[in-house]
Amino acid sequence: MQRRNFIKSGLATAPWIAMAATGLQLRTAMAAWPSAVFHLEDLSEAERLLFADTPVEDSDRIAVTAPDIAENGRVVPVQVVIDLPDPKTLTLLSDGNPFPLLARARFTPDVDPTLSIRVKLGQSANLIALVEADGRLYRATRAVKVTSGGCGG
Amino acid sequence: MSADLGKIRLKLKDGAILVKVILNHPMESGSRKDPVTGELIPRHFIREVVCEHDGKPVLTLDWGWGISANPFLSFVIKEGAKGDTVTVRWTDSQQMTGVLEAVVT
Repeated sequence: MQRRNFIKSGLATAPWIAMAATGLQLRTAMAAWPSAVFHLEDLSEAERLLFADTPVEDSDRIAVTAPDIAENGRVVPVQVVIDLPDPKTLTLLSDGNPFPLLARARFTPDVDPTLSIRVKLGQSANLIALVEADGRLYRATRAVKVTSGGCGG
Repeated sequence: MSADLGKIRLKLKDGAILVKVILNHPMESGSRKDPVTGELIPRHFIREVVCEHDGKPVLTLDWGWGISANPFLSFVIKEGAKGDTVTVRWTDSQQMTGVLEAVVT
C-alpha cells in the first residue's frame, strides 16, 4: 500500500499529468486508434488486417532513411520521403519487434508526404514502409543493424 | 505554454513551414522493468497525434509503444506565412491529452 502511494505521488508530479489537468481536450476529428492491429505480434497478420489482400508493389519512389547500424535501439531516427501521386497513408512496421506496427500517418494535400520520427527496435530488423497512394499499395524496406536493443531493459 | 510539455519549432522556408516537435512522454512499452523493484512498468504511450495549420488538421498519426520516449516528429506544411499558427494535439493510452502551439515568426 505504501509503495502504491509512492508511485501515485510520483506520477502526480509528471509533466504529462500536470498538462492533462489544464483541461485541454483533443479534438475528436480523427478516426479511432486501431487497437487490434497495434497488438498483433505477427507482421503478415498485421498487414492483412490493415490492407486485406491488396497487392503490394515494391517501389523505389519511397525513400526510407535510417542508420545502417543503430548503437541504441531505443532511439532510431527514421525518415520516409514519398514521391508517389496522391499519397494518403504511411504505415511503418518492423519485422524484428514483438509488436511489428510502429506508426501510421494520414496525409492531407496540405503537407509534404514526408515524415521524420524516432522508433524503438528490439533487434536488427527491416523497417517496412507501406504507402497507400493513388488507390494502390506500395512498399519500401530498409535494414537496420541494432547493437543494443530497445524493447526490454 | 509550459516547457515541460515539449517543444515545437517552426521555420519558414520558401513559403513552406518546417515543423519540428519533441513531446515529453515516457512512451513505456510495458516490457521494461523498474531497475529498483524489478517489476514491469505498465505500458503508457501517446497513441494519437493531430497536427493543425491555423486550426485545420493537416496530418494525423496513430502511434504504438514502439515510438521512442520523448517522441520526435518533423514534417512540412506546403504553404504558410508569418503569423500562421501550428498546433500539435496528442492523447495517450491513459486518455491524457496535451497541446503544443507556436506561431510562425
